Amino acid sequence: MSKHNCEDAVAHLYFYLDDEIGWLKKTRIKRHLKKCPPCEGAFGFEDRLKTIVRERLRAEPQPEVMDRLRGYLKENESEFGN
Amino acid sequence: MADQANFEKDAMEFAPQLYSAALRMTRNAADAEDVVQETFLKAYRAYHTFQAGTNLKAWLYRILTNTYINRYRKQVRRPNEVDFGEVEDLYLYKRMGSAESGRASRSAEDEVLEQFVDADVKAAVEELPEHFRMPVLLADVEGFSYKEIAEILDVPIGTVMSRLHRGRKALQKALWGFAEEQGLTGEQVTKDE
Repeated sequence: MSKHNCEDAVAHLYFYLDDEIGWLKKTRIKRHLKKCPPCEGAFGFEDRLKTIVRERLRAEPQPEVMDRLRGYLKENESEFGN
Repeated sequence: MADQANFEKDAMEFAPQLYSAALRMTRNAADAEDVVQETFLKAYRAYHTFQAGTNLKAWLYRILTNTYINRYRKQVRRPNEVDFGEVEDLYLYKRMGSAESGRASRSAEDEVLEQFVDADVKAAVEELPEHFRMPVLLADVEGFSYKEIAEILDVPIGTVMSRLHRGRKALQKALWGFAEEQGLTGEQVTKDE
């Protein structure tokens, strides 16, 4: 695997994972990953990290928070949600 | 034009997500609640200007972001803004292998990743300078496209890409710092003891 291909793949890593890349480039990178275990490992790792960050940062508000939000809007806009 | 009478029906489903984002921005529950309340009131009052059929979620996030910035940017002087400079590509991945074996197995990597407990990721994100934090939150937690983030933050798309990519690498560096503090790095990546 040429060093150039690996560098090119890594340079486009985030665009690839974010699906912000043209299909031609995407196809080329996909082909490279199939043939290059180190890059395939790196891309897989970055993708799993992204998932973990998302999972860890999500917060569900308590039902009271939602109730207070509705109450606040009603107070400030009497016609709200009539 | 959107009908104001439909606001609650249309917009309220996004409230939990907006609250979650506000929490990551303001770093505390009471402020997050204030920001979300103000956001919804502003959104309600401006709802007649919203183009029905366009991206309501992005529109609400734009109001949320502006509300947060207007309320807090002035008063929050960040005491220890870490200078992340340019963090190398694959920062964390390159450090996951143990010193002697060179490369960690995938399962060893996953174990370390799993050990980044909630508090670490939250603290690492909250440490990021704001111009990194916002694109990272909007892309990685909220799943917005680069174009949507550019519209929400009102910056060019090239700026979004640069900040998002640098912000992610800075986040990796911060996460690695936490892992090191907790002795999760080096050869003892296994958790069964």
